[in-house]
Amino acid sequence: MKKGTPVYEFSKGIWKDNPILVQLLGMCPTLAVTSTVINGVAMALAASFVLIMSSLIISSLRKIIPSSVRIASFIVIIATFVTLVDSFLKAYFYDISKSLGPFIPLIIVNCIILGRQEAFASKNTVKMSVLDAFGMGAGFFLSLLVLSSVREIFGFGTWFGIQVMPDFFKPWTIMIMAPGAFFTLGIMLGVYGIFKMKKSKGV
Amino acid sequence: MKMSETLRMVVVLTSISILSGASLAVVDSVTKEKINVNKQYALNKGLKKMMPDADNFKKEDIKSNEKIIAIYRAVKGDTIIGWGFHLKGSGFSDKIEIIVAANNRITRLLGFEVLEQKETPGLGDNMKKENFRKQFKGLSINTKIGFIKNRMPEKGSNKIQALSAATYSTRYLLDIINNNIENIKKIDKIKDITGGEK
Amino acid sequence: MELILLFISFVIVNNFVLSQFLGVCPFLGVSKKIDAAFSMGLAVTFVMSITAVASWAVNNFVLKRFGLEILEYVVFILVIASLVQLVEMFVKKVSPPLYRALGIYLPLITTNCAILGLALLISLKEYNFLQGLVMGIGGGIGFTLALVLMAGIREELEAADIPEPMKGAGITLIIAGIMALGFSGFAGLIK
Repeated sequence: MKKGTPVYEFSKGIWKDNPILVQLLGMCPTLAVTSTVINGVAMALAASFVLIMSSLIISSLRKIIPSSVRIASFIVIIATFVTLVDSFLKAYFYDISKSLGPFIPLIIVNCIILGRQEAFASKNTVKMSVLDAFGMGAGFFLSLLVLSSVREIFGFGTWFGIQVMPDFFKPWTIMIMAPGAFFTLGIMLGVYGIFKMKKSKGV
Repeated sequence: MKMSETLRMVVVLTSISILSGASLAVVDSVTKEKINVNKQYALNKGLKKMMPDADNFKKEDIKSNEKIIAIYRAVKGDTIIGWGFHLKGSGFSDKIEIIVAANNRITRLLGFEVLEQKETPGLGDNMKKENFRKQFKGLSINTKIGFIKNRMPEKGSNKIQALSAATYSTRYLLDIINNNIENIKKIDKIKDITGGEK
Repeated sequence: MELILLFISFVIVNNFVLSQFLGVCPFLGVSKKIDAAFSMGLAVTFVMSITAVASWAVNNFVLKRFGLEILEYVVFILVIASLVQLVEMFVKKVSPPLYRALGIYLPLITTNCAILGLALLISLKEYNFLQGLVMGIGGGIGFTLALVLMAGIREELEAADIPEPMKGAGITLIIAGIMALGFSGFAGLIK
């Protein structure tokens, strides 16, 4: 795949430049809200929405915003969308918004979003920037889905709240506590590393 | 040239901020009402569960200390059928927020619901479970409620069985209930309504 | 007394990095060398203390008074960004050596979620001025503690034989997990 083609800009975020596994961005929400799948998924959707909307606006305004105030402009735009998502969740999904707590407003400083604006949306066309945002959002979503699935299945014996483990299984409480989050993500990075290594040897 | 650059900076930043403020004002006007309803609903749902006969919960205009967040009077028609206390206190890990329901004379517990807690998952946070909470129904609050570990307490002992491997969480929870209710009963306005210590 | 307990709570029991997952990005990024970790920690502690005061004041004197809570997030992040900018200019002017030590970390602090997290938590928990300030200082010191401990371990780790795929972030996360496990032993220390 060539750099600059629409397919490339979309798909790079999912595997090759995955925001979590490769760029190690947006770690705080990744670790904090993934004790259940529903929270992980809600966080990923909220962050992706903010990312896509901000990329859309910022790439359309890229010629108007002077570079000396670009960071300030970016964070105002991002913070506006985050407030929007936060109010929406509080109004229509109160329970989810309560369990995500301060991590919804913390999307503002999620480095994935500001990082993509600085590195991509402020330099590329609207179409490419939105594709890039969708790709990064998808990569973020998939990583959170896997991480939260592992944690919920072992930590509660459930997946999306549905019992999946047999009755004799005793939940590993540690998986839903802080250490479990670090361990699971560490192992995920290791597994990703193994795939990468195999691929580079094969070539 | 330099002036126009500065001017552009100011104009762009100002217009972005104004647009942002304006759009948020719209969002606020649409969602504010709904958010307040949700907050109240979470509380009322808990009260309603413990006092299903009540048709209204009126918030009392009483300020005592910060641990007693609110006092609700549960009424059916004109008669008071119970009380709801929104309480807060320290738990093992972080703050615990609960609503406790008591009968009309504040002598017996009707139960409690956990609004917020961060106790150890799988141990202390079992306080949310129905099995643990149902023990509180009917306990006397004229004396303090106690607990025993690892077995069911005798009937009439006014004790509960502690959460297994979470004695501290149990103790802190009981502290919140016992101490605050004792303070509530000392409030003059409440005394007038319930007829004091009888 | 209550303030001392609150302080200890945010340094160890409710450590920002290890139990609340705030500021994990710099925790992974700037924990290779002890000196760098210590400087970063100092810069963060400093900014956190000022942020605690500034965000508390803005929240209570401006936002709440005029019913502008909806603008909370936008205003907080702007306050933090301008504070960081001010601190940077101030340090540059007053103490060039300190600027050389801290300089490169200062811009990173704007996007450190520990700072915005602090401002949000103070507002969420409705802390008063002193409690907020103690939380800022305690949180900053807790962050420094976690960062320096991790840097110490990672310096030793350079001599260890780690499987190729786990090198770098992978092993760091596993160690962070073990540290979090250790720190979770402090739970219940403070009533």
